[in-house]
Parts: sequence; C-alpha cells; structure tokens
Amino acid sequence: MSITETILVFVCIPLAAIGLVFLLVYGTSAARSRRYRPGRPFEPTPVWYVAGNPESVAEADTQARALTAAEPASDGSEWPGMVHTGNIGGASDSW
Amino acid sequence: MTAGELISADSVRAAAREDALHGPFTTRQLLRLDDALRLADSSTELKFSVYVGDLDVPVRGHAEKLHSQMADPDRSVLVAVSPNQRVLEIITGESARRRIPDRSAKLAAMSMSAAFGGGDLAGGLVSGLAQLAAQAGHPAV
Repeated sequence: MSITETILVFVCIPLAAIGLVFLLVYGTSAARSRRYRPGRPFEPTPVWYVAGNPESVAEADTQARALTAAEPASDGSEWPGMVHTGNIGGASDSW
Repeated sequence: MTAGELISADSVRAAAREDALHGPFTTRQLLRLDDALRLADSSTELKFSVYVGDLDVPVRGHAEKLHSQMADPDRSVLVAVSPNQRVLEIITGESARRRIPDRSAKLAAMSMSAAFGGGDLAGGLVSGLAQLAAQAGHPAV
C-alpha cells in the first residue's frame, strides 16, 4: 500500500464520514429551526388563519397587519375603534 | 373593479401566502391546521380562526379587538396564541358562547396550553379546534 493510498483510506474516508454525520445533524436542525421551543424567542411574522377561500385569508391577513400596527389607547384599557359585540366569552391560559 | 384594485388584491394575497409559508408551521402542519379549521367550520357553522403572533398588552383586549374585526363576530371563535408571551386567548362571540360555554373553552385552552408547553404549536391547535368544534356540536335546525 503506497503512502497516497494509506492517506486516502485512513484519513480521507474517515473525514468524509465525519463530515456526512455533521451535515446530517446540523443540516436537518437548521431546516427545523422554525420550530417553536418554549422559552426561546419566536420570530415568525404574526399570521391569522381562517378556513375558506384564499380571498378571505388575504382579507384576514390585511386586517391582522392593520391590527398589529395599531396601538392601545393611552389609558391602556381600550383599543381605538373597538367594537363591543355584546356578551363575548371565552377563556385564557398561559404555559 | 379597476386593474389597480386587481393588482393590489393579488399582491395582498401573495403576501399573505408568503407570510403563511414563513410562519411557524411546515407545509404538512399547515394542511392539518387547514383541515381542522375547515372541519370545525363546516360541522358547527361557526367561524373558527387562529391567530399566531405577538399580542399587545392588555392581551385580552387585543384578542377581543381582533375578534371584533372578523366578518361575523357573533358567530366567530378566535383562538389567539402568543408564543413569546406564552399566552393563549379563546374569544367566543355571543351566539358562539351559547354553544361553547366558557367552562368548555377553558378546558380546550388547558389542553392546548399543555401541548404548547411541550413545543407542539400545530398539534395543540388542531386538537383544541377539534375539542371546541365537538363541544359546539351541530347547529340547531
């Protein structure tokens, strides 16, 4: 076995194998970085999902953009342009 | 409708699609979420929607404001999730509230926040929507 062959077999092949493992580990985690992890900052832009045709999605999104841009009134209790729809209910939770 | 309006409607739609793709969900999760929303809407004849993003303080006020902007707030259910603030709000309109009592909404909220605490946004939303839709049942004839 010549020196070149020895280097090829004992250095290049192990290095290629190590590189492949690195790529598999960090390549896939980079692709999955959008995943939410509690406690880590969550960067994606706000989105509003509704069922139905794309028209209503676009409409809802426009509303969402407008709403996220809106600022609460100085007293902090009411929102400008808030329409009270009467007896609304629901629930809150945090994690 | 003028050509300008057409273009702006198209660009808004394209921007919405772009944002949805850069959102927190993979294509498969988006499809599951879409299925869950469509199923919930068609089985209950209520209008379900999901907002994922930061909410301004007061959180409840912001979520109520979003809800009031929907097409038919009375028959709408909004699930607003803010992963950064770790808060979840479910808002039900007046007629929706008669079919989904606050106590059931709280139960769905708890099961959703349990999933979110484990980092599963899409799974929590899908199961929460199913739970809310099951509670609402079919509309009275």
